[in-house]
Amino acid sequence: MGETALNIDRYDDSSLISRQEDEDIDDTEYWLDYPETELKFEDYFESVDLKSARDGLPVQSHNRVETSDGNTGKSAKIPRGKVERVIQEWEGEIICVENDVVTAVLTDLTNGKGQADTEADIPLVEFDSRDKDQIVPGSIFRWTISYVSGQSQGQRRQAHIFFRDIPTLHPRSPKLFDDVVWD
Amino acid sequence: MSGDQRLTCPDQNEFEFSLFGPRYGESAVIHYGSGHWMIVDSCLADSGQPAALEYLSSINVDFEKNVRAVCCTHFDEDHIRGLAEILRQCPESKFIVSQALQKKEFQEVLRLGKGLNNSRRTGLRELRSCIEIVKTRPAPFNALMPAIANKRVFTEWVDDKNKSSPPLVAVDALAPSEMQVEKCLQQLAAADDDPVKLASEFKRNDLSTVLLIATPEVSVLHGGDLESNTTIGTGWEALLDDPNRGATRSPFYKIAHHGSHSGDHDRIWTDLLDPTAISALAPFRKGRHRIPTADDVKRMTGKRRDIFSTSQNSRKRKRATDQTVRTTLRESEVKLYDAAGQPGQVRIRCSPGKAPKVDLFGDACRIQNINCDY
Repeated sequence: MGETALNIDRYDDSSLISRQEDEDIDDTEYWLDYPETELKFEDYFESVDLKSARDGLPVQSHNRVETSDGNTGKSAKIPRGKVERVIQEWEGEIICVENDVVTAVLTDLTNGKGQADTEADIPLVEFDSRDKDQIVPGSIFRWTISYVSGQSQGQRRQAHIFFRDIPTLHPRSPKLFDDVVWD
Repeated sequence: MSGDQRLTCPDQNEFEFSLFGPRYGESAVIHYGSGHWMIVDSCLADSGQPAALEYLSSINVDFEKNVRAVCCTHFDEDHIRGLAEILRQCPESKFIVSQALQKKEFQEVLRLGKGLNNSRRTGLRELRSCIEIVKTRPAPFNALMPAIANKRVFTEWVDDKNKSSPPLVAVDALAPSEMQVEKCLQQLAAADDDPVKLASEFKRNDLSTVLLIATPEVSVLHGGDLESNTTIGTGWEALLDDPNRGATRSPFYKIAHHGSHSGDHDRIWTDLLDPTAISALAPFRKGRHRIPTADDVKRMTGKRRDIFSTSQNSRKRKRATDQTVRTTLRESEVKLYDAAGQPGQVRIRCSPGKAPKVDLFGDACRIQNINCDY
């Protein structure tokens, strides 16, 4: 998310995953109970394992924070006891922005085969205005649709879009050409 | 065209050029004789398998033994997806890749990984996999064949043990030029050590390989994604002005860069192609960005009569499977479309002394039927 990243501290996710006890909701879902803490945006994306997501494992991509403003997660805090169930998650790449419509290619991380096989026309108003610098071709974002429920209120549906911009180097590559034979 | 007709293998002396393409991606297979094949670039079929291998499998080609050369024209995602799988399943193939990869600067580009946008990341990752697969093969299949203008990158003789026997096929690289590689090096130098800038500045189409694949009877010009360039000594201009280029005028042409204006040049049609050349392209669509445009179609149909596309390039709506997701998307006025699309195939077969035959499969059509509306 660049300079406007969430300012949340890393924590050990494995200790936070608990099974939902509510029998009315699909009990095969894994839920994440959030502490009164914050997670760095960079940590979130570095930790998400796409292969695990494709394999249907209960990965940290369920680790979604609800925002205080109900929008894209700025200064987000999850009150203790609130849980979120992600029902759909995509990774998107912006292709073009025209006439207040953002066109993106999506990879379905919930039910897909790991291929960018869907395109979406998303009205510009669905993006947080504070992300305007990121709304350009080539930007990568996560888009989740989820249910959030708390102790004192019912379940509600919400959608979040998070951007990322974190270049990294491939760890295995420096020796790639070491013993290459050229004809 | 029925499926049965698609599933016939070409005769031993029959030349075949097949181009596959969903609306995003392209791949070509060439049968040059004696049951031997070459694959240029890769895209994925619906099954997730490389379209080229799926087709060869369907016509009972033992590609483990009979695919003799694989070429990566350049490493854009739409040309390279599935290429590592092809190299894995065709262990006796020669791997042809741009000579630019001999330069440290380009090798450094391959270090760029996650954090780049999807298409750049996928292309680089796939090329890394290709190199890792080829490296582990036994000789002589562990060598990369560097492609640069005026270099013969692959030859097979009628009698493989006698190199004075007539050639079964000769594959010449016509691009990129040495100057083009040098120009790209300068771009990389300007990007300094900033990996994102490096990936952004680096125009990979400039390094695209162009191939002339020739048997004694016919040839096909594979234009890759090469584009015209105003800088002297680069792009199509360098190829067309090259005094060392042969005088072959091909009867078949894989149109460069999906039929875009920038991938075209008047002299391609006059200097490199037969007056009755049959051409094929795989259109490109990513979001609202489509190639070819209506103007491109008009321009190309003014050059030749027989030009075919692997896809009609239409945009089809897609429905989310989950009701809650559908409701959310509807409330937000978000529309989903199928990005992959149905793959099609343009197949040209030509037996000695006979007129070529064109078969269209799947979504393939004449370019006049491409949907150019946004």
